[in-house]
Amino acid sequence: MKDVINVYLSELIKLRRTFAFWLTVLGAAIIPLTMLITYVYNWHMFIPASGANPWAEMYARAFNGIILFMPLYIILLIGLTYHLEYKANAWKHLFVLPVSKRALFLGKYLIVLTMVFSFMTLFLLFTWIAGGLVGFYKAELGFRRHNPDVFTVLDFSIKVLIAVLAIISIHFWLGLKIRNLVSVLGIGLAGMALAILMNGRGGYADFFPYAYPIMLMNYVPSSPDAYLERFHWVSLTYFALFSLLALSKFVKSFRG
Amino acid sequence: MSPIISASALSFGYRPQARVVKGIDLSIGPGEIYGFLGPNGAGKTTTIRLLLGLLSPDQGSVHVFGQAVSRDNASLFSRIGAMIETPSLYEHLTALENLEINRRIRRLPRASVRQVLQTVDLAAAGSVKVREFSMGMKQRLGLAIALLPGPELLILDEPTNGLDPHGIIQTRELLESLNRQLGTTILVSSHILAEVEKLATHVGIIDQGDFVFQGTMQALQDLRLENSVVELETNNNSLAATLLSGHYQVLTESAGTLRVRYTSKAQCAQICRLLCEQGLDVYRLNAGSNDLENIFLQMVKR
Repeated sequence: MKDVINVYLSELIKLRRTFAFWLTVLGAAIIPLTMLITYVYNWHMFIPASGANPWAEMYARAFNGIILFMPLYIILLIGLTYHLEYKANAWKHLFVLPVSKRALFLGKYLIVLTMVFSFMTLFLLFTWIAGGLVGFYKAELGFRRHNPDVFTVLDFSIKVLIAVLAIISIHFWLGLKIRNLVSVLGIGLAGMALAILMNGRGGYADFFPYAYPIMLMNYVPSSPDAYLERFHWVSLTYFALFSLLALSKFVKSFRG
Repeated sequence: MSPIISASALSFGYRPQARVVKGIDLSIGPGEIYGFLGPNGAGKTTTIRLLLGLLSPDQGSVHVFGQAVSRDNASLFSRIGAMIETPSLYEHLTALENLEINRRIRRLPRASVRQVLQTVDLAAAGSVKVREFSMGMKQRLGLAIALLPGPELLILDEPTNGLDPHGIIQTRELLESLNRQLGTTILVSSHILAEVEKLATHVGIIDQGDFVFQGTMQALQDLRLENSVVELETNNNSLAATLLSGHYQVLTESAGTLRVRYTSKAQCAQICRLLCEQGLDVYRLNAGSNDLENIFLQMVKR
């Protein structure tokens, strides 16, 4: 366990000044910034009905933006994470360090999961800041009289994170098989294009990982008795399967 | 004393039909500096990768510190420092950050980072990003990373690549002092004999995946005298040729110069004595030995 922590901390050092780091911070700010500009320039369109919570509409709009942007971010993040090692010719060196391959794998995988989680957290924070700033700019929009619905925000965050787990695991596995960053990006973009064409829940789309985030379009909190939908369970299954495949490939035959 | 590295009948091919390493045996004892020589593509780096467990041999076995090399035996690598081909450096990070990554994983004290930077003469460049480093500085930083754990075994694949003559001398002196003061066993590969000639105690020359020479540096130097030629000029070269032909191989007699093959320094002295005892005047005696570079080139047939 200590080895995994040490590898994880060393991976954090590697992220300093990288595009992957700035992509996480600035990428998480893009949708909230767009919301801020839209609300400031078209504020009269967003005056809420009497007693309505303006945060609900702002977050709903932001959620629709992030589900399209997040898969792109993940595909690029994982590609860049691998590219860092290939560019530095570092695999051969990492494999002669006194830690197991399993620890190296887990350290890197946990970093990717941390970055995705940070991206989501920053997105929620930046959206909240955007709402706060709009509230100061136009008091009649009601942002200062209401608070965001924490349950809705948390519920969406959990659902979207579960939905992207399949893409994370598949691209982590792909990165071990395909060295070329552009090829991996191409596969991801093709997957996303197909997902958009698939048009919603049910049927084959439930088994196509790139479609899962899009299924959260126009999100409404689900009822507690059916918390997760079928595609969520399939995403978790893909995550378990491809994580094990990636671990097996990394430990048994990956040479870098 | 049991060897630090021992490999027996080691074979490997990236494709089944094309063997890159062909059943080699290798043994490196404690405190040796083993110069691993061979032209480009001879199988040096592949052999080093096999020794470090980065590749699995098709046949044969590798033992380091008496233990089978395997990724399942990761603790073995805490005693080894290695630099394989080009140094593995993250160019967007500083020299200190590159070392810090290794220090954390190896669980070493913080002071070790500054110490190795001083050892490789990069203390002043610790906070400079590696992308601003010259080739030689990168090579030295790669060496610093290999030295970080204070290894008992140091495996360096062409460590002087890209270094200027001053850098080559510095590296050689550093390796010599590590070997002398700490007893570090060193395997250093190169395709240039002159680079390891002054450093190595033992030499292995590999060509097309097989050893063409293995032995001490002294044994390799002795080869210099074998097949060497002494050039002579006397007042009577024909008589000299007749006198010498009973004992030595006289190669040519042309343009007033006699060329005679000899195999030791003592033979060279004997030739001179024999001619003088027969009353011949020796005007010129030029004992030329085969230089090591030529021997190396002959061995690898280049």
